[in-house]
Amino acid sequence: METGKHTDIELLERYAMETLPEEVLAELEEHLLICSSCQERLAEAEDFVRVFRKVAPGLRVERPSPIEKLRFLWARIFVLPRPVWAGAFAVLALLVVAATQWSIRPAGRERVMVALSAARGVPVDAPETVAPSGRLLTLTIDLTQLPPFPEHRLEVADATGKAVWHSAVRAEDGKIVSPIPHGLDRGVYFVRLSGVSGVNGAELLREYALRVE
Amino acid sequence: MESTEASATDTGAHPADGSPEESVSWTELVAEIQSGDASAMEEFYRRLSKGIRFYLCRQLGPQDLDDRLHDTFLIAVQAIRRGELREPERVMGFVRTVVRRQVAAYIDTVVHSRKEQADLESGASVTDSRGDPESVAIARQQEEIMTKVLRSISGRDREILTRFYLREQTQQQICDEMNLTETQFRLLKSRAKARFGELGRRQLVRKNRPLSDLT
Repeated sequence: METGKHTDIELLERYAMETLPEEVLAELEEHLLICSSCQERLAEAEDFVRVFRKVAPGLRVERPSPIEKLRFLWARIFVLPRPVWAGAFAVLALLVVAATQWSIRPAGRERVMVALSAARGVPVDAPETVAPSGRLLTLTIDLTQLPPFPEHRLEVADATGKAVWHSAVRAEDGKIVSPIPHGLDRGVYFVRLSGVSGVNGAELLREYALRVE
Repeated sequence: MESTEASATDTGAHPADGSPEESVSWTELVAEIQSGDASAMEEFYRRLSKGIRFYLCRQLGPQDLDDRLHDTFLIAVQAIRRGELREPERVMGFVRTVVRRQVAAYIDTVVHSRKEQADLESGASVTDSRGDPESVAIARQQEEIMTKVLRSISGRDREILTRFYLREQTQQQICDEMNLTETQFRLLKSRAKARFGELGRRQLVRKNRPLSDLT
């Protein structure tokens, strides 16, 4: 690192997190002695790291419960104009008539097959695989392009990284088909597929994003 | 806090703005100090005082900062005048060594004096580490802003930031395991930090000055 050039932001962040290797530490600190711009950037990085570490571990991303949603809607109803009320009643009446004419089948408890796929170079905001909440899911993974292992392991982690389910699984005909014994709440999950061998233990092969909604 | 513009492009080395300030021949400056030139010592202090103060404050806190800065500067200049700096072009490394030794010596002194303080009659006095009400309020606001930022991004983005800032995984490891390119990773981090900074500028009146302002 030349003293005439500014420091890469990642180096400053790692310095703030005290994870910078010794071999670059001296050069960075010498540069910080004389560069007020990098001093400022380091202070900003330290602020961010400190606050992130304080907040992130305890953060729970919660969606509004059904009761909260109803409360919100109920509070909104009374500000609607009268024509909207009239239209709403008309729609309600039609629905009642329709319900008496047709039978409504209760939602089944049959499993939903969810095929997971991953591709390299996908943008960060690419859509995840989507699955319905409250339903029993069966995950399927094609192992065609993956290195072979005698055994595999699947883990489902929530958005904070906490594992909500894991199991040893076996491949058949180049695929893994694994039912999850319980439904998943709404949210974003990460499904991690690892290959297990007696010599090297578990090796992470793929991670899939799964949105349950 | 980082500006939005800087963060949007901050995927690599920051463009130089002429810092370290004007180009200076450290070798000539050291030679002038060794000859006893007072103006050279003033120049030396001017160029290094902010950086030394910054380092001392990060390591030891803001208490007695001026005294410690002056002690460090004095030690460095006296050592230079005694000819202990064999390679003048390495003066930055020399100053860094002096500063680090000062920090270590002060910490050693504090640890030593705590062990020797055995005044059981009066009991131990413990400094409240929470800080003044103003800084507590600022810290709370920063946490609220961070909560807002983290809730506004996707779970995958949160996972990436958690891996880097909490689990201290390397960029390479995160990119490999989550199928990211280096650019995607850097952009995600800079977006989150820019958002944090942007919300901070809107909501905070930062009376508790950042370390770089303590000069």
